[in-house]
Amino acid sequence: MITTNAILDTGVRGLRAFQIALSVTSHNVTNASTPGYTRQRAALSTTLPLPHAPGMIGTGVEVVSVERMRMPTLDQIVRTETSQLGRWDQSASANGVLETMFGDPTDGAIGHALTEFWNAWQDLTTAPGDQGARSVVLQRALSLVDTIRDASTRLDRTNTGQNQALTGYVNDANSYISGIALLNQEISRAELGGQKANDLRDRRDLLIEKLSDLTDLTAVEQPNGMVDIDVGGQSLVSGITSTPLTAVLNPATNHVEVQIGGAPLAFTSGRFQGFVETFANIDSTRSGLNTLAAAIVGEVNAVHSAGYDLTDSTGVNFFSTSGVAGQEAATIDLDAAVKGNPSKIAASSSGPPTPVGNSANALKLALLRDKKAIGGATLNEAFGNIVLDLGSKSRESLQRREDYASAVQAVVEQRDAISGVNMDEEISNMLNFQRAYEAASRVITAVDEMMDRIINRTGRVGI
Amino acid sequence: MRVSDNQRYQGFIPQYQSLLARQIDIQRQVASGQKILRASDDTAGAARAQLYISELSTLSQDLRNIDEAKGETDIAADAVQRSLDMMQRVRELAVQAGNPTLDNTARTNISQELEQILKTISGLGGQSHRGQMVFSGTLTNQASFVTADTNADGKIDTVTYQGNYETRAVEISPGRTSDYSVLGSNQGGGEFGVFIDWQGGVEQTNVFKSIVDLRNAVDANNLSAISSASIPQLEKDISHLTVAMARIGGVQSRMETSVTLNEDVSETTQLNLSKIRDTDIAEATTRYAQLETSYKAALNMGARIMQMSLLDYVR
Repeated sequence: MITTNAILDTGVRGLRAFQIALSVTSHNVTNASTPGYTRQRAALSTTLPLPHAPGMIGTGVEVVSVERMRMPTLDQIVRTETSQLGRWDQSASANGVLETMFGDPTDGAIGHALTEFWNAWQDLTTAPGDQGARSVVLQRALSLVDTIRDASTRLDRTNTGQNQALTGYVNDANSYISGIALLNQEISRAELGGQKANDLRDRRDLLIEKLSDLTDLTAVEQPNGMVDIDVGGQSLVSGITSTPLTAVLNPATNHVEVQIGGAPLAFTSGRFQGFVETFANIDSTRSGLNTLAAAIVGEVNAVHSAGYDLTDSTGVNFFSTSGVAGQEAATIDLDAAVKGNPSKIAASSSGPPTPVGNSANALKLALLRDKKAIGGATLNEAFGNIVLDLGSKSRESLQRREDYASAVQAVVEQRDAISGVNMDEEISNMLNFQRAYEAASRVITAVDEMMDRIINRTGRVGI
Repeated sequence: MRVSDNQRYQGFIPQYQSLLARQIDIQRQVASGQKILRASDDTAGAARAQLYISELSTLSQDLRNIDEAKGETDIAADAVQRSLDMMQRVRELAVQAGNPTLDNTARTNISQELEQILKTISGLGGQSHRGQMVFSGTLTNQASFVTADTNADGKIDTVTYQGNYETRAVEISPGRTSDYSVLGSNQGGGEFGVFIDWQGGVEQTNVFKSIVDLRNAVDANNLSAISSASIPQLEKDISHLTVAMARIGGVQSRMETSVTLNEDVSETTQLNLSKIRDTDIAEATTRYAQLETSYKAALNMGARIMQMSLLDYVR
């Protein structure tokens, strides 16, 4: 038999359930713009019915759980794509800096200085005895030296900047790693009672996603709700234990390496992999510059030392040969004997005594412009190739960044379609729950009136 | 499909940024006049542009080289022309001196004029361009010829070449050099001497010696030497100087041809470079207008979608 109290309880349960549901709606509405927030839903379910003839009588509604509307497979895809985006974003921004370092791609600073250098020798061929023309050769040579050294210095600065940036990102990664371990602990505690710690899970997923921008990673959730994070077979987070990364400057390469437990960590994607590629680009550009500087010194000296200067000397180098191997671009300089002394320019092919009007050696030096001095390329072409190589790498990284940005956007949108808050939907729910709450309240009022009738008015005739 | 508010609001941002970035890109191209601002804008185009710029620089330098070399050959040509004119006068004087009726005064006058011409022609060896003697080979800091009065009679007896036999060359078109110098003498080397020319180990022309021989013959009233030796030699010398003029003219002509060729190639190269590198303003403006329309439409659409809310319809 159904008691009046049972009906009252049903109404009260309804009030409680819709109160919770409204609370969840309110949580959704206020977190609509919170990064990483996943929409939640109060899962309503009927309570156990009471057996009664002629059938089971329902006892109302209850909230069995607050669900987090999340699809883990989409999270995996977002992390993978974010990791690739991080890699190419880093490459694109670093390559952009590197390629603009040399100025106009069609007539960059070094290319222009080289052309001016050859032209100065050409001018000297028509007036080898003219001290003015000789001084111009020295000025142009100094300008070429300055330009090459300047490029080398800028490359060093770029490298330093990248080292600092990478160190900063390693610090970020460590804060994410320790944050994940801490959240693992809080989540496992919070979920001991069997309920999901939705908001804590959101915060942890957000940190994992931020970490995936920096590195490729494997995140595996354990039965206790904790997530273990591995990178390249190395554990970063295991339960509540986190292993921090270290940014170590390798003195041999002058690049910062990301290490774990004293050993370098290998990446396949993520911003850290972008840094590995950036450093490789810096190295190849420096190597190209060094090869160019060494070739300029070698080629010019070979011809110059065979000529005769106005002091009847021969065997004099034009460029200093005391440049440091592996740092040719940074140390290129004019020979001390030639610097500031135009008479020491060996324009003549004959001597001693040196005929003042002989400019055959100057012409040979001018025509070094056309010599295929570096792997089938002229010196100007070799410089052009450095710029073009950077340009094509930059173009590739820009394209790949665009591709992955689109991919990330598409998959995030897919995830948002499930996890994101829709205000119209929440308002609909709010109205729905509000009305349901009002109706449950009305049930209680009705029961109250019924009880009033029975308790206060039944059997009291004529009063 | 379910659409969240994030999709509604955030989804537009990458599109706005993409459209805006493309507009800024075009604005930069128009402002700089170049569509290749970074190698990554058009790597293949940048590679071709590098080649064209390098070629243009070489062509421009070659035009300067030619200008300089031509300046020197102009001076050489002028000196040779003046020598030729004077040698014609020497031949006239030789014919006059061959007249047996000529009195001593007239002969003395002729002798003195010949001495004067000798000084003038030998002095032409001091002709210079930008301080460089044009007939001295590569010893450009000294005059080509030095005169000597060996018997101290107040008259020049010998004119000696003191230059060397090295020639000078410049690049006149990319990778092509041209010898432009003119030697005063080729006694010790070189294929052609303007004033003193040796061929096959034998002196064929020595305008100075011809004048000295003539003057000595005039002084000695040696009519047979004048008619049988001096006049034929002078005719040979005049012919040689004419050839010298033609040779210098040939060098100049070769340079003129190179100038025309270089200018033509330069114009074509400049045109090709412009096609690759320069911004087509009309095209850029049209593209900008298209992007602007798209951007405005996207903003309009986004603003309208963002404004829609159920909140506007419930109490």
